Amino acid sequence: MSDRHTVHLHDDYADGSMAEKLRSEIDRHTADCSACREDLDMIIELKKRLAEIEAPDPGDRYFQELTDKILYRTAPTDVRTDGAVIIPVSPGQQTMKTLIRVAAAVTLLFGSFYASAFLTDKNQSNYADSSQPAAFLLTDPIALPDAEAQAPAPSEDSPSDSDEKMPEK
Amino acid sequence: MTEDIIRLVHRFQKGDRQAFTRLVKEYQRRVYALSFKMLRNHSDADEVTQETFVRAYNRIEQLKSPEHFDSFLYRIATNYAIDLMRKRKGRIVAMPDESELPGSIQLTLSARVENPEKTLEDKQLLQAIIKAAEELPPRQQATLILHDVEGLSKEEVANIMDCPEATVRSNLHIARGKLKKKLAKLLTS
Repeated sequence: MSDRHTVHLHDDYADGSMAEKLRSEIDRHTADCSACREDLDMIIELKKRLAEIEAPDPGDRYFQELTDKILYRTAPTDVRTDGAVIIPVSPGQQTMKTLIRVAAAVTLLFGSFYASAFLTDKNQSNYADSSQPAAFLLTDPIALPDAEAQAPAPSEDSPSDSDEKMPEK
Repeated sequence: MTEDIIRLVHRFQKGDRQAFTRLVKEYQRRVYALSFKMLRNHSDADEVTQETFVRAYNRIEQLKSPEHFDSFLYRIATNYAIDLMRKRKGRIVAMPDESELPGSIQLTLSARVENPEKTLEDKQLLQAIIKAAEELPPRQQATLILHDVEGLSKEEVANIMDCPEATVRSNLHIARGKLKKKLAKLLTS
């Protein structure tokens, strides 16, 4: 062996996947053969350099988001009995949905509050501005049998009364 | 591979999504690292990692022995990365610029700097090797990365690449031969 070139065996030598006997024969040969020594050194150096290649760590937050994306993409699509397909919701969509729900609830709450306040005002002004009882009084089961009798006496501020009284003045 | 992982794979094969989630958390860093080393690009590595787990989820019934789950994942990732490499051939791909990487990654890289002069020299040499490796045909490149960068055995590489061990040896020999020439030129200059 020692008088023949060993280039074809250098990969196994560098990988450490070689019997000890063969390994020592290569050692003997490369001690005298500069071409083979150079080739072997180069493979060993190359392997050392390649082992230094690293991937950067994008951080825990990135991997958490990656897990979420993978789980979203593999989420089973549910088919209901009526044939409708329930599409899974992504984490981003879920947040958006929650925000929309909260906004809708707040709008509904304020809307109903203002609407009731507005209706109360309107009913009161209707009642104040007209000689007729307010509509809600007519639908009142207690007030209905004797609506006119139950109607409060027109106030002095009532426009109809004031219209009648004005000429007296 | 630990008993715990094998149990998780069994549960995953029976449709347990929680087991799948744990496997994703267990392996996503390794799959991302392998993909990054092959493609040298964060967004491609991200795509390969996502796609690997989605494909693993859809093809889990093809895995006959749960103890080979890591090879199963690596095979999917390698094949997808090879596809991307082939698509990339013919168009210019810039070497990753650290300033374009997310902040956390830049921090990780800067934390490694010890001897600036030597680091610069080493870095240039390493970049030249990486550039030379990128010019290799995709399968040779993948073989080189799995064996010499990831440190897998020839048998494991053969299993992942779905080829005989002799093909791994041959690909490795050719790839190293090309890189040796490049390295020799750089070291003598």
